[in-house]
Amino acid sequence: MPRQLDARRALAHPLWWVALALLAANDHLFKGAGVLPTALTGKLSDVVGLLVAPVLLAVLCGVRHRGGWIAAHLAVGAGFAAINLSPAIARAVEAASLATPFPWMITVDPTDLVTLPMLAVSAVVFGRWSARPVVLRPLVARAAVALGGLACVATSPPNERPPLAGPDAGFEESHGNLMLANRTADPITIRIRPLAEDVELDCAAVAQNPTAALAPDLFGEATVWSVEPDRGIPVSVRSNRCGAALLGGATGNRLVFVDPRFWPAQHNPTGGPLLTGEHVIDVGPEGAATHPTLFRAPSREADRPAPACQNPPVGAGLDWIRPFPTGTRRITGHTVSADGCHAIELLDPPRAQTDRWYLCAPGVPLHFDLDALIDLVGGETWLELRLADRTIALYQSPELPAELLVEPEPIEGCAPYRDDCDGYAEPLALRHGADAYVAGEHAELIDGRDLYLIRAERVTVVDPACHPTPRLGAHLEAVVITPREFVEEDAR
Amino acid sequence: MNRHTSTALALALVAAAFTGCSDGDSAPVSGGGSVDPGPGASGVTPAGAQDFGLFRRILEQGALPHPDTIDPLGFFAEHKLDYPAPDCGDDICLHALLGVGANLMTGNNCTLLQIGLNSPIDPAEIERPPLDLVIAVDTSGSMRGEPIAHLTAGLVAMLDHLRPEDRVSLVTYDTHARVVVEAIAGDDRATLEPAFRALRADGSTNLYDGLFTALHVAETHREAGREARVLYLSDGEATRGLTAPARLEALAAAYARRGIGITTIGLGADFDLDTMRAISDTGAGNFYFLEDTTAVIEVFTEEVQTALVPLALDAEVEIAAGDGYLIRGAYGVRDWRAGLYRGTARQASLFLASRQRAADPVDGGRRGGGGAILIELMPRSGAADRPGTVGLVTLRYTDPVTLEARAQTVTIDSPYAPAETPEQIFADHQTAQKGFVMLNVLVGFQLAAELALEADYETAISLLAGLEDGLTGWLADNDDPDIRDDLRYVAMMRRNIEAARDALDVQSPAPPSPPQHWVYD
Repeated sequence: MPRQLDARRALAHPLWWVALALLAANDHLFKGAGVLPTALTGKLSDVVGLLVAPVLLAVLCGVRHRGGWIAAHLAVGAGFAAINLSPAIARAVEAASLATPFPWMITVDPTDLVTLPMLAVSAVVFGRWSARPVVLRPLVARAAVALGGLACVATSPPNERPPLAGPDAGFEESHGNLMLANRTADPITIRIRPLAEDVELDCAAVAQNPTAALAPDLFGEATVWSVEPDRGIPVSVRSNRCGAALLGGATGNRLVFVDPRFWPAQHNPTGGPLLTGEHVIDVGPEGAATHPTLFRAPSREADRPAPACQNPPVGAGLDWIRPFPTGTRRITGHTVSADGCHAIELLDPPRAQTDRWYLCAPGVPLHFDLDALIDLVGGETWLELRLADRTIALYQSPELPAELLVEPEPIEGCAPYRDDCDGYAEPLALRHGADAYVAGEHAELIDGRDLYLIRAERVTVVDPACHPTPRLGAHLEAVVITPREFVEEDAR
Repeated sequence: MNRHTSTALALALVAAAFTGCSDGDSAPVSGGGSVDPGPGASGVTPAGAQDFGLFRRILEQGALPHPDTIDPLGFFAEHKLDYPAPDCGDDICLHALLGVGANLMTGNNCTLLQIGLNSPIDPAEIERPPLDLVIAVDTSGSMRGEPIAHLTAGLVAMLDHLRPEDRVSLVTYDTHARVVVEAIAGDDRATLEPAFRALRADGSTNLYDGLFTALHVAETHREAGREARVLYLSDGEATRGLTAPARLEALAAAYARRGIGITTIGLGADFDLDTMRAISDTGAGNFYFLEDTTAVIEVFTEEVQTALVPLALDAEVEIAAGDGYLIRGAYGVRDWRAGLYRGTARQASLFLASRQRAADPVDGGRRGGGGAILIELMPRSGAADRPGTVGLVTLRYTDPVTLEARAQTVTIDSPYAPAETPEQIFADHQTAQKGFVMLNVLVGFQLAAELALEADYETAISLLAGLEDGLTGWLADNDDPDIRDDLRYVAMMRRNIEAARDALDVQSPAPPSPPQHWVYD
């Protein structure tokens, strides 16, 4: 009866260790160093890799019989062949490897398949060894697995990426989510204006209507490309975030909107037979071909929201000067403007100094008695004005009182609109009991408090260069006025 | 003849891209006649931007302006258009001129209405109501040196145009706002001039505090029968206090509804253009850009005399298309609401423009032209095949002195059926030609700026070169100082774009290299 096979014993074979050492040295010392011919270093990794990898896989799978041993070798062979024959599979593996500490960059090269016989060498040589009575210390086995795994996944640094081989030989690669390929007979000019790096997008919301959501001024300076026939150029959006670019020139004026979950960034040949596939947009004499990522270019003009759907302009809602005066102050002057802003003169008795402080709460009836004492308590996005007869609480998202911590809902008949900062927002309603409130409305709460809703909208595009609160999501602004008796009741 | 053809083509290429209408060429125009409105025919201009000074300044500095830098209202306001004599019997007379022709790119019919206003009132002899003027001056650190000196000179020069019954307040603002003098009689030079000359610059820029304080002062002294206005000057963006531009616009709009207008003046190249322009739009006032000392004097002496006093409040121009026409678009209006058959342009106020004749030289500046509203119409499907009424234009406004509601209506008839396109462009008035040309230049500037922003320099250059040819051809037969000055800036913009094109770094995919069997993975 033949001895039972144990894949771990193969790790004791000197050839496996030599192969492992060669793999590491080749990837990290020889490649690009000029020590060995490039043709040799290129194939050497494959030769020794096909000795190291199947044994490693078998050990990791705990293989203890011949069928498993053969299966491990076939699996490595199939994977190796797939990434060297199919660019799509290679790109998918690259994309998956982005989630690991060792992202791969794979060159599709069918000529690599000449190294496949090394699998047979591994299967036979290490197969025999794994059936012999070899004693391997557990610590050594674990070290071998760790070193082998590291050598297999941590290949050469990405900046040493060489030109393409195989069918793409001779064409440099470009990194991008999409490629624009010149399918005309003449050179063409293409202009690309990428979305500004700091613009934040709610990808799912923008994907509903990118043309309406993205204003032209959100895009940066144009890069101009001259593209020869049958050559391609990359279209890249922000890394790991959805993004967009304005295209012009031979493509026609178009907007490209890309979600990297569906169109991952990858290395693509800039010419040759592999400049094809779903990620390649052909540009013909009539412009860019139809593609799921292409949309009509946005206009500078945008529809204005209906009055019933309006929120205050960006920056013209609830606001106050920060930092606010702290401690107990005496009100020595008060002027209210026609737009609901209050200039309040606050005397700091210990310092005998008066500061003018502004508070804006449009549409909220606020009055301040002269000589009244006031305490201001709060944070960056909330503030309480404690007076003798009432407390006025000002809230901006995300600091909201309990009655505002309900999921706001879209308003029927109110479409999203471009705001004054070239952002994109959808008006919202807040449901309180059976009633729904929109911006500009007042609610008398059952506990005697008054709620004034100044802003309720969901921001899905925001430009931090303009927007005072550059944050995606629901933007709510509200004032809650609590009479003194209810303040005391709460305290009890 | 070849020159005329190319002129028309060049202008049409520009206009058609934007409006669908072509320009009127000097030679193939039929109908109409020259205009000499006679003395006292002042233009009337809507509130809002009164110049395109910043656009000019950017071009003069060799740079390329953003498309938003040019404001159609401001651009049109730098063009004096001579309308027929203002003999309607009111302070404001409504005129509607007609142009009909073929779009030279598509051959489609193009019907353009040019709506203009003028007044028999001579700015030099205007009897304006007493003025409560609050001057809010930015005295932040960035105003130090030449800007504050220019400003002081302008304010002192303005004293000559104030009257004893006027009242002047001065508010300065930097880190905080201060009321320097309050409600001083207009002839009290002994108080006002030292206050102006004592202006010193220091600190940060609290725009909101400055405007809030000035408006509060204006409201405090407001009286019936007196005109309350704030003159708000700034050279920078808000760095202190409430800094959101929308806050300033909301403040201006709220006080405009209470009858206090705000004229904004931007100084230097770093002021917040959008905000200052928006404040004047919503604040029932004007907006100026002061590029140099000459402009300071121009605005403070010539314009202040007229622009601070409205001829009309709550003005509304309504266009009802005739049976055979549909409204396609409007140019030169801020608040335009339209359907297919009817459109309305609203303006919070209308002012007297200072320039008297289009042919007068513009050495002292082009501001005070008056401008126009251009309405594009198109034939309605199934329209009758006979000439008829193109539209009815109605002007409604409130007289600022008597508060009476006024209205005028003008009917425009065409000698052509709605779908009929004359072989030559028809203009019932020579001034309509200048309106066409003016629109072409505006559209040319806007398109070229947009193309340059997208780095499509070749198209922009070709467009501006065509426009230059067209303008040169038109000027050969129509000597007009405004259009000649426009031509200078068109050429300047083309040169700036050519410089940008020459500096452009065009990228291309790396050339193919010999195959190397060097695998990486």
